[in-house]
Amino acid sequence: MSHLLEVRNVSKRFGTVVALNDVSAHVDAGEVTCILGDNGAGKSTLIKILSGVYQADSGEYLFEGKPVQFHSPRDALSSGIATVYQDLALVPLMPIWRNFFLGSEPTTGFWPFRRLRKAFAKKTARDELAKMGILLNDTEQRVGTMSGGERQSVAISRAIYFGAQVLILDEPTAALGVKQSGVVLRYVVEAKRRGIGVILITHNPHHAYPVGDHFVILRRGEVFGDFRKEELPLDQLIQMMAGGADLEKLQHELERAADDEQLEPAAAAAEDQPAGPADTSPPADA
Amino acid sequence: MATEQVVAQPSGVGSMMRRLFVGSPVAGPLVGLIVVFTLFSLFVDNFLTWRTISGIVNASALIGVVTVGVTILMIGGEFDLSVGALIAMGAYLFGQRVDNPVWALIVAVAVTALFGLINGILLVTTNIPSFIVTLGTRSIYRGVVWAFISGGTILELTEDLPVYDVLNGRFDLLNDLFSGANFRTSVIWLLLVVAIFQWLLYRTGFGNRVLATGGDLNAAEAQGVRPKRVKLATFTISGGLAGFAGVLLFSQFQFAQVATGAGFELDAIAAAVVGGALLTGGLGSVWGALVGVLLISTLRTGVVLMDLPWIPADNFPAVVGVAIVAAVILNHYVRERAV
Amino acid sequence: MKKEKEDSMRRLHRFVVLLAVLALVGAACGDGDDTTTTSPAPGDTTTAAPGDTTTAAPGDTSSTVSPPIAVDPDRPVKIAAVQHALCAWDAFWCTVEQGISDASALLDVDVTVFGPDQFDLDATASLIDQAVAGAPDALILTVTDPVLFKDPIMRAIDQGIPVIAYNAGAGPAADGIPYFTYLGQDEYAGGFLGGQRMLATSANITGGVCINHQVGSANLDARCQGFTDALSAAGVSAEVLAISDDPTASQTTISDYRVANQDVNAFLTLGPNGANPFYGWVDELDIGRLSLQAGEWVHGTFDTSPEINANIENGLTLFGIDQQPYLQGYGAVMMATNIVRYGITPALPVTATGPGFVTRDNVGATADSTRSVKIIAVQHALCAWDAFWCVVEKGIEVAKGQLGVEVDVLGPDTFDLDATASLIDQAVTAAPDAIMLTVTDNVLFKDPIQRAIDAGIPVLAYNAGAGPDKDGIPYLTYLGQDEYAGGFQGGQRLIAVGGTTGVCINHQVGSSNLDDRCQGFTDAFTEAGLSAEVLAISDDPTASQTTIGDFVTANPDIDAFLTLGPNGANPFYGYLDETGMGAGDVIHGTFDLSPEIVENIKAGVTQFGIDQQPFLQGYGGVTALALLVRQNIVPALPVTPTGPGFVDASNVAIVEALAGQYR
Repeated sequence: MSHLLEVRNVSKRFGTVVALNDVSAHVDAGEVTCILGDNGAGKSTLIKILSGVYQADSGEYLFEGKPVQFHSPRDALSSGIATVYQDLALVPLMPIWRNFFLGSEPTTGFWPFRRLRKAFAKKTARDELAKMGILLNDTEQRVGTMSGGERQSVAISRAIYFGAQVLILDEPTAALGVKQSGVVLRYVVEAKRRGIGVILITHNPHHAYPVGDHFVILRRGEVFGDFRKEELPLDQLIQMMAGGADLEKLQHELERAADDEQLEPAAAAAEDQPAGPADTSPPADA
Repeated sequence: MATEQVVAQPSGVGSMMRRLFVGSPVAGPLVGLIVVFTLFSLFVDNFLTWRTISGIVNASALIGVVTVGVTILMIGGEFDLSVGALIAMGAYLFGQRVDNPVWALIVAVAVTALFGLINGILLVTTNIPSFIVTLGTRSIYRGVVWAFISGGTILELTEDLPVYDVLNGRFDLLNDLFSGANFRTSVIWLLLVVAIFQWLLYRTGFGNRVLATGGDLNAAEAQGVRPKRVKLATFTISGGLAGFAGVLLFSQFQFAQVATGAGFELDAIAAAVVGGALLTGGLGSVWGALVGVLLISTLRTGVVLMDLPWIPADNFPAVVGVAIVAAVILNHYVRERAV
Repeated sequence: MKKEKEDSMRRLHRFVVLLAVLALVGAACGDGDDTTTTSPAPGDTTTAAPGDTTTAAPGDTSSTVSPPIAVDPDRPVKIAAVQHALCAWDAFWCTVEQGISDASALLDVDVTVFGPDQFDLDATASLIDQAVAGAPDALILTVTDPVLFKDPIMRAIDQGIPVIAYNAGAGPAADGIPYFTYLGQDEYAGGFLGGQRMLATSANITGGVCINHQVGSANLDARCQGFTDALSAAGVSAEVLAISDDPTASQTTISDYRVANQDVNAFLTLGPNGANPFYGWVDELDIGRLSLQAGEWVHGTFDTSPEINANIENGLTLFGIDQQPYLQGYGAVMMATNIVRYGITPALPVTATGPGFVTRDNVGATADSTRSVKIIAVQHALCAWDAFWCVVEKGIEVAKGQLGVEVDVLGPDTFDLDATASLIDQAVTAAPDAIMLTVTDNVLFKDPIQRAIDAGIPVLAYNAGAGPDKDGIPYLTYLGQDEYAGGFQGGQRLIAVGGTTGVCINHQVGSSNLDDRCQGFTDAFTEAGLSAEVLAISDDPTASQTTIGDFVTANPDIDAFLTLGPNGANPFYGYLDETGMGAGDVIHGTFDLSPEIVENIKAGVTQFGIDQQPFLQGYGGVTALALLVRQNIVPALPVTPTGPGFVDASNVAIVEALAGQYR
C-alpha cells in the first residue's frame, strides 16, 4: 500500500556541505508524522524539499504513490501540500480575512471591474476559524494584534480551507508559551481528525509525543531513527533526541567542571559538540 | 451564548470609534484635518469662506493626483522620486496635442506610465532600493524632458482649447451655488482618481496583494503573490498618475518647462505620510492620501491668512513644515492608541 | 495656414523623436561633432542679412501665434547728437566725436553732431529743438544743464524719440528727465576700485588719504567716499584731505598732513590739480620717489595728463583713472541704435564708461581702429541644442559683422562642464586676442581661466558668472543681469503708476538671484516710504495660486505685485482669472518674458516684463573686447549689466517681433 506522501533516500548538498543524506520518511492520511531533531539536523532542508522550495539532488518524492517533481511552493500547494512556516506567512498589518485569502482572492465580475467578494471572504474566514475552535468577533482585526496561537490557527485553517491533503507544520510551537502550545497541538489533532496527513517538525519531544503517530529522528542530515509511537516510550524519545551518549558525556563534563570550578573551558568544549555539517564523523550509537 | 449579546453593546459610540481607528489608517489624519479646520475657522479671519475652501481644494488637485500614485507605491513598500520629472513629461506631451487632445491625453498618461514601468523593471531586475533607482531616473527623465523641450525654454500656448476647460477649467456649475467659490474642474478628476484607486486598493485582489507585498514581502511570496509583478504595476500607476497631474497642470496654465514639477516628489511623500501611509509600507489608504493633501493645503492657507507679524510671508513654509511634523506625530499617537 | 501646418508637422516630428528616445531611454540627440560655429572671414564687415536668421530655432515652440515681423532690424537709422562743445574748439571732444564717428561707420548708422560755436547753454538748448525738428530715430546729448535742457528734451521724448545722455548729466532721476540712461564715469566706483587696486598691489598699506581739491563738489566727494569705503572695508583707516586751487599751498598741506599721520602710505588724487602738488611734495622728500617705486607708498589718481602718464611709466603712480570719453561717444550711438533696431534698452539709469584704469601695462597705447581682432567665445551651451543661446549667438554674430572681427564660438555637444573647461584651454592654445566665456562653474573653470589670463589674454565673462570678486577669478568684467537693480527699478515703476503696498512673489526663496530681486523691490518701496513684503510660493502652480489669493485676503492693502518669472506669473494670472480681475484692477510687473506675459503686457494687465537681454550679452562681449584691443577701452565695472531690460507697452511689439532672435 502506498503512503499519502513519501520520500525515499533523498539527499541534498549545498556545495561541499551535505545537508541531507539518504533520508526516507512518509505520512499517511489521518496520521501525524513528527520529524524531530536538533538545530542543524536537516529538518528545514527536508521541509523545503517537501514543500517544493528545493529539489532533491537524488532520491524519490512520491505523492499518492506517484513520483512528483515540484518546482515551486505554488506547485506543491496546488497538489494539496501546504506548508505553515515558523513565520506563518501572515502579514501582521493586514486584517485576518485579507490574510486568509492572500494570493487566492475570491473575486466576482469581469475585468476591469473584477472585485473582491468581501462579504464572502469575511464570512468564510470566520466560519473556517470557528471550525478550528476559534471564535472571532471581527475578521477586520489585524493579524499583528493576535496571539501567537491564534495566528497559527489562521495559517492552519487557511491551508486546510484551500484543500490541503498534507499539512507541513514548521516548528509551530517554537515561539509559544505552554498554554498557547497546547492550543496549537489541539489544531493538529483536529486536522488529523479531518483525515489530513500532518508532518510536524519540532525539536520538542514533549510536544511531539502526545499528537504524533510516527516519529522520524534526524541527526546531522541522516535518519537516526524511525519509529511508530507504540514502539517508543517518551523517555526513550527524549534520550534519542538529546543524543544518548553525547548527553552522558556532556553530563560528565559538567560535573567535572563544577568540581574544578573551571566552568568556562568545559562549556566551550560542550558547545563544540553539536559540530557543524563539515564534521563527518559517524553518529554515535544509541 | 443564549442571548444576542452584540445588540446590548454598552458603549456604542466608543466601540464604533475604535472600529474606525482599527479598521482605517485614514482616521488619524481625518481627526487632524477636522481639528485644524475647526481651529482655523474659529480663530482666523476670512478662513471660513467659500473662497478659502475652494482655494484649498484647488491647491490639492495636482499634488493630490500625484500623491495617490505615490501612496499606492509606498503601501507596496517602494518610493518614486521620479514623479516630478514625469509631471513635466506629461505636461509637455499633452501640450503637444498632435491635433487630437484626447489622443494627446492618452499618450501623455501612457508614456509616463511606461517610464514608471521602467522604474519598476530597474528595481526588480537589479534589486537596488527604489529610493536609489528613482533618484537616478529622476535626473534621467528630467534629461529626457530637457531633450524635448530643447533646453531651458518653455512650452507655452496662448490659445484655449475646450479640452482644457474640461480637464481643469472653472467649475462654474458649482461656483454658482456658493458665493465666492472658485472651484475648478480638476476637483472632479481628483475625486475620480481617489475613488478609482481606493476601490482598486481595497476592493480588488490586486489591492490585497499590494498591501501584502508592502506589509511582508516574504509572507506574500509564500502565499503565491508575485511581488515583482505587484511592484511593476504600482510603479506604472505612480508614473501614469504623475503624467495625468502634468496634463491637469498644462490644462490650467498651458505651460510646461523642464523644471516643472520639481519638488513634487517629496511633497507627495510628505502628504502620503501625513495621510497615514507607513514609510515602511503595508499600511495606508488612498482616502488618507486625499486627507493628507487637504490637511497640508489647509495648513498653508491658514498660516498665510493668519498673517502673523512674526512669520514673514517668505518663511511660512517652515511653519507648514512644523505643522506637518505635528500632524504625523498626532497620527502616530492616534494609531498607537487605537491598536 | 502654412504656419499651422508646419507647427503640427514639427510636433509630429517631435513625437517620433520621443518614441525613438523611449526605445533608447536617454540616448543623446545632439547632431554631429561640430562644436564650432563657423564665422565669415575676418574683415567681412557686411551686416548679417535678415534672411539668414529666419530659420526656426530647435526649441522654438513657445509661440504658436506670431504676428508678422513689422520691424526691420536693418533699416537705416538716423541719430542726432547734441553736445555743449565741439572738437573744433575743445580738444577733449575730439575723442568723444571719434567714438561717435567710429560707431556711425561700424554700425552703419547716420549720425549728425550739433554743437555751438562757443560755450553757450542757451544756444545748445535751441540746438536740441533743431535736432528734433529733423525727426531723428534717436537723440543723444549732453545734459549740461538739466533745468534749461529739460523742456527741449521732453519735447523729444513726447514725440517718441529715445534719448540717451552722455558725458554731462546725473542720470534720469537726479536730472528729473526720463531719458534712458546717462553714459559717464561712475565716480564712486572709480574711488572704490582705485582703493581696491592699491590694497591688491601693496600688502602693507596702513592708512589712506584722498586728496580732494574741491571738497563740496559732489563728483569729487563721491570719489573720496568710494576710496575710504574700500579701505575701511579692508580694515585700513582712510581720510579725506582738503586742499585748495593754490598748488604751493596744497603741497605744504600734503606735507603737513603726512608729518602728522606717519602711517598714511596710500594716496589718491582726483586729477592734475591734486596730482601736481603731490608730485611736488614727493620730489621735495629724499625718500619720496624711492618709497613710491618700492611700493611702500602707493599713489593713484583720477584723469591723465602728460605728467601723470610719465609717472605711471616710471612707476611712481600706480594708475590714472580715465572716464573714457571715446566710449561715451561710441556707447551712446550704440545704445541708441540697439533701442531703435532691436528694442534693446540700457539696463541701468547710469551706464559707467569709466573708471577706465590706465596702468603701466597700457599707458601710452595707441588706438588702431583697423587692427584685426580674433576672439574666441566659450560657452556651456550652444544654439544647436538650446534655443536660449541662439539669441546670445545672434548678438555675437551681429557684433562680429559690424566690427569686422573674427569670433569663434566653442561649446560642448551637451551640457558638460568638464568638456567646457577643456574648451577654455583649447581656446588659450589658439592664442586669440581675447576670450569671452561663461563662468558656469567658478571652481572648475578657475584654473583654465587663470591660464588664459597668465598668457596675457584679456578675458571677460558673459551670461553665467558673478563678477571677478565673487567668482575669485580676475577677469575683466561680467556681462549679465543686475538682479537687484531689476527689482529696484521694477519697484520704482510700480510705485510710479500708483502702487502703495507691494508684494514680491518669490517662487524659490533662498536662491540668491531671486532673493536679490525681491530685496531691490522691497528697498524701492521702503525708500519711497511705502511698505512691501516677500511672499514665498512653491513649484506647484495650483497651490501657489491659492497662496497668492490667501495672502491678498490677509493683506487687502496689497496693490502692487512683482513676480520673478513665469513660475510666479502663471499662478498670478490664474489668481486674476479666478477673481475676475484684469487690466486696471492690479499693478503687476514680472521678470522674464513668455508668450503669456507678452499677451498680458499687450492687454495692459502687466506693466512690464524684465529681460536679461541675452542678445546684449553676446553683442556687448564682442564689442567690449574689440574696443579693448583696438581702442584701449577698458570695461569700467566688474559687473556690466545687460539687464534689466524693461519690456512694456511701448516696446512690446518690437520685442515680440524679434523674439527668438534678438530677445
